[in-house]
Amino acid sequence: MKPGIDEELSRLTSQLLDGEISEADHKKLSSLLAYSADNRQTYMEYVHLESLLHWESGDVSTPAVAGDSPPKLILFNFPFWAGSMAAIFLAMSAIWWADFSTDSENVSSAEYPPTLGSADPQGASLAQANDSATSQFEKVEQFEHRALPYSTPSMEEQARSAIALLQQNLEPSSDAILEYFGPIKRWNRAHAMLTPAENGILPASGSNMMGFEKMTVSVESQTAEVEETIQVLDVRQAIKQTSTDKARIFAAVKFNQSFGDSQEGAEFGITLQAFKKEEMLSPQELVRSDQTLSADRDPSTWNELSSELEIPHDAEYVVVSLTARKFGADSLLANTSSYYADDLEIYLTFDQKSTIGPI
Amino acid sequence: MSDNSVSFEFSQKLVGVQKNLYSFILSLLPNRSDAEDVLQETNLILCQKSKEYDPGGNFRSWAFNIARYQVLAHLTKRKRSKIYFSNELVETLASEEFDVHKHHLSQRALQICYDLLPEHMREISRMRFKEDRSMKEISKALRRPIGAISGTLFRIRQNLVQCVRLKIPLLEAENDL
Repeated sequence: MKPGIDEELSRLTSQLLDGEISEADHKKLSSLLAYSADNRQTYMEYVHLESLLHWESGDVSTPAVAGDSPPKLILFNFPFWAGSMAAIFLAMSAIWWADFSTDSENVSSAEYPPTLGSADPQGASLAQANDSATSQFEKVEQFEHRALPYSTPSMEEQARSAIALLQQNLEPSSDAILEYFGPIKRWNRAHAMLTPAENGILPASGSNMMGFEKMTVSVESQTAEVEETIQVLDVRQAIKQTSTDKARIFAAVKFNQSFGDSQEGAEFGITLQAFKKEEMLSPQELVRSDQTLSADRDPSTWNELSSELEIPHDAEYVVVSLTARKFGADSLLANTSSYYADDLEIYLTFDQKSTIGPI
Repeated sequence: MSDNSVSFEFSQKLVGVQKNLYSFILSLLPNRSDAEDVLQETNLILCQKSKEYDPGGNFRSWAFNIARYQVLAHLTKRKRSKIYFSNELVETLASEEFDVHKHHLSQRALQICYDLLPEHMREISRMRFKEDRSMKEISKALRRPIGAISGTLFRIRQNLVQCVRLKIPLLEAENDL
């Protein structure tokens, strides 16, 4: 292929992958791809690399061969089975990939020319890459046992962002509102999830209920999950006013799911977490409570779940989250059903005498 | 209610083909969100059709074929609102040989090549590929115009493709030792 065409094809493909291609350039790219097999080969190289970059970044599942071991839970949305050497290798690779940004800090930019094609492609940098091929994978191994708790970054990010807003007295984004209940300030995004009756599900009460987003499906671990941070309560003022350490939160909620192709009901959960947030530091979780229930598949009945948590005296924020999960082969069909919550009620008690709620 | 339970062997094969399937779909439908949707739809259909699958047959070809139909169905639904390839071009691209071995080597090479990117490229790569941030978001975060971000992403991809091209023969040679 002529260098000029290769350059143009690469540029157009890159723009296409970023969604930044104009209609005229899209036509040009289509013509180039229809014109020659070499062009299609180059295009495929770019797209396959792109898919690997997406994949290793944890937004889509990584293949592994199922084995006898239980699912191994790591940082990504999609946990891995590690039942074979191949699976272990892939899991390690993915963990390594999650850490690449920090682990690779020590690599000087001088080790990699801005464009390999133009600046000594077979020079020192690639020689070094070749030499380090084995050590690179040895480096991967040190992360093998770093299994982390099962959580989605989006839920954590939502909670973190809400805590930052509450701490700095800022206005929330359009999908959340701030409310006040005596000394309690609440970041609440329940209203953004509200939906009227749908998919054969009637609200447990009133005319609306909360609808979960689609589940994130992990084919290799055969799990599907969606987590929603519903409320973050700023309890700093309320805790200050208590004379003893006795502060508690009680939450109750109902769950339901629509008919779908899955064979079993979902596992629903409610999580209560108390956080402390120091200046310039990430919120630190002090305590948490996770309660789950296995729901039935009858859309006419709602399953109720409650949870309680003693709030430590140094806690500043309490986060309320809801989850829905599916396990096994059934999880592959998780999104043929929709999942709902309703009648979320929260009570806070202080000194065993004053109660705020239901809120 | 249909019986969609799948056998352990079937789920093993389904798991094993996921990465290749995603690459294949993305090559026909080069939009991450669309490709992920079609991957899920394809998985669902594969599960629904699991009883029709002949265990002696080529699972990958069967899965790719179903994915191809899903892409075409997706294009029919979405063609009015976005820029997409024509059905003819999709068919042409779908008929290109998918080299599983090379795909696997590319993954290994990519892990090495990625680490050699300079810091400023890694930062943009992290935002784009790991955090899946939009071009607009990256532009805002880095206070640089979208055109400049697009240009850097082009150079990142170009570097990685060229590095991987050079690395694959070396990895193959290592495997032969």
